[in-house]
Amino acid sequence: MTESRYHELLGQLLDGALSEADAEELRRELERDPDRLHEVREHLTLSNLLAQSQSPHRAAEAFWEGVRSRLDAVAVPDESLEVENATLRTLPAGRRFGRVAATIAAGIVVAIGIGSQWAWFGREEPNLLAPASGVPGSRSGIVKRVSLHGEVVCAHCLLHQSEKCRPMVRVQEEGHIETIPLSDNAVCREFYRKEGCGRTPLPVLAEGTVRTENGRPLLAVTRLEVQR
Amino acid sequence: MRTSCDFAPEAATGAGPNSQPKQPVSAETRLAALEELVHTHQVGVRAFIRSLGVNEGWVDDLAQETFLVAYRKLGELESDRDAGRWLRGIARHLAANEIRKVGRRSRLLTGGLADLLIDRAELDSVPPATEWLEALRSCLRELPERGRELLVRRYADGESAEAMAQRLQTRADTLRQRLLRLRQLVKGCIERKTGETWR
Repeated sequence: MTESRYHELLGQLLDGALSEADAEELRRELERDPDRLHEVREHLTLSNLLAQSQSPHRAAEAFWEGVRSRLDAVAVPDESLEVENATLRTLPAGRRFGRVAATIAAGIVVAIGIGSQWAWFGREEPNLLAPASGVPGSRSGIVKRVSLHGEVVCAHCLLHQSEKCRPMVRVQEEGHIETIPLSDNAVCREFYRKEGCGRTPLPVLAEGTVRTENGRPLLAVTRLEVQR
Repeated sequence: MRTSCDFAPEAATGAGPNSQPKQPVSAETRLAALEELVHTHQVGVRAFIRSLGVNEGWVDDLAQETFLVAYRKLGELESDRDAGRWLRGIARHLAANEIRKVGRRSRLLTGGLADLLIDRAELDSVPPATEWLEALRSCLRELPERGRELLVRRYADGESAEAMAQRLQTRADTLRQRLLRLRQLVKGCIERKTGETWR
């Protein structure tokens, strides 16, 4: 393979524009030439470092936040569901909630209400929720598993509360409207990729865990489905 | 996320059946250990996963999963072991698992490229560290304005070479070559600043 052809394919690979046939051609070349294989690996590594260093949502803090969210999402024991399940509906009155669910739902609303600043993928953003007063800082806070019927809305396009697009879940309960930031995890990213940021509100079922961290509410979704 | 992992723990960690059982530790201690692992190794693990041919959009997902597996297996990490190598071993097995799952092949480079990169992964290569990111930022500042802008648009804004080429009224391949040369410049600069050779 000529140098120029190799560089052409390498450039396409790093740009995510390599066709299946070209990928096979490049693979055959890399099998033959270990130096070029090493070079491809270097460019992939460097591309990732550039993305890590330049993109706010790839920052170290955001990454750690993602690990924590996923840890929390699997760490809540099922036994706790009996007392910690909560369901909020977008529908106004008309649906009855059990006493436990209502109590926990109220707890979540309070937790949401005490949230202050929230950084999306590590970026500083203006306050989205009322600032806390007298709330002790907590590293991980209480984790509650929730099932929410609400809608995904974009914090930028609709709420004008952030500089960049990011989906949030908005729920309504007895006249209260609460908007909950989502933590960066695979479910959230997949939703964003498939459905977008929520420029037009999308009715959804959101399941996952809510916790407060240093007074900030955070929903780590384990399921986020559009209810068409 | 997956709550179980179907790779053999012995293969991933090197912990054999004769490994000494560890004393139970508190959740706080384990979480602190995980945080330390993430803090120290996340840059390298993410870059390593990309070097295995995982598409950029899935790198962090797989890296997070790597640390979750590590969290479950913390007891197998000996104090004198190279934690970075241990983590890269876990990451490599997770990436290899992706190959076997038809629905997840889209997370990897096509045409057998990922298979090759995973198969010939170099667990002992010098992994990028946090200092490399600092060096990289410094190197970007030293680039000519136009070159820096290209890299920032590509990696900070996520603009593809195709889109950039249209905007700048040039060919995509031409732009990709410029990006290639810029990355090589940055690589040389990082090596000078860190005193470490890439290979």
